[in-house]
Amino acid sequence: MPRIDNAIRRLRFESGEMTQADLAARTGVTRQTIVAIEAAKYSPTLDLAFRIAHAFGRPLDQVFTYHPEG
Amino acid sequence: MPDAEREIWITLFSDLLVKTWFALKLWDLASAGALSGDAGLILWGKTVLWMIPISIVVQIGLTILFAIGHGILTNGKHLPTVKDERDRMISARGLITSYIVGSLGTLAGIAAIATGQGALIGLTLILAGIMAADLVGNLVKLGHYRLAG
Repeated sequence: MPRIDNAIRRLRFESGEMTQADLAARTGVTRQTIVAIEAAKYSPTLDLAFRIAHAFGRPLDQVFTYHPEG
Repeated sequence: MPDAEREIWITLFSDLLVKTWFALKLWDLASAGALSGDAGLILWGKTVLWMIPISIVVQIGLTILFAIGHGILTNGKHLPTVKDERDRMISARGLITSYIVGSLGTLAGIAAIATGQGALIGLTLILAGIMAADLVGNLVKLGHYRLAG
């Protein structure tokens, strides 16, 4: 089964220990949604994925990685 | 707890209260034998018709009361009211579940009528399906908030 990993936790740490609440505010979602994405329990839409990447100033593929084989 | 989840808890509690009262009222009528025969069917229809607006009013009242209670308990501090794409996705899943449960209730009602169980049993099954649809849909939403993505 395909899997999408993310580097949000590491990137938050590298961005001056940005909190989940800060990232949520910057991307216009709830903190719970950031928690779910970070734990790979929820796959964001392309729009939100880009907003998250933009919040870190990184290209999308440095935040999310797709594994077709799981 | 996000706003959307708290709203579901409030709806679930008020829904349970109203629907239990609704079911008990019908049960009382059935126990008293008031729902037998054609006259019973008419009474059933009238009772359900009356109970729908009453339920809506009671539910709105309870929702306002819960909101006031929550405001008092949290000292007026309000959590962010953002509803995002995940809330909408969870809401859609709950809605799909509600449709399925409601459809199953309708199907069970029609099957009951087709197998000669009587119109009252059939209609009651359809009504029960509709009543259960909301409850199960809300439970599925809570499950998604609590357990899954």
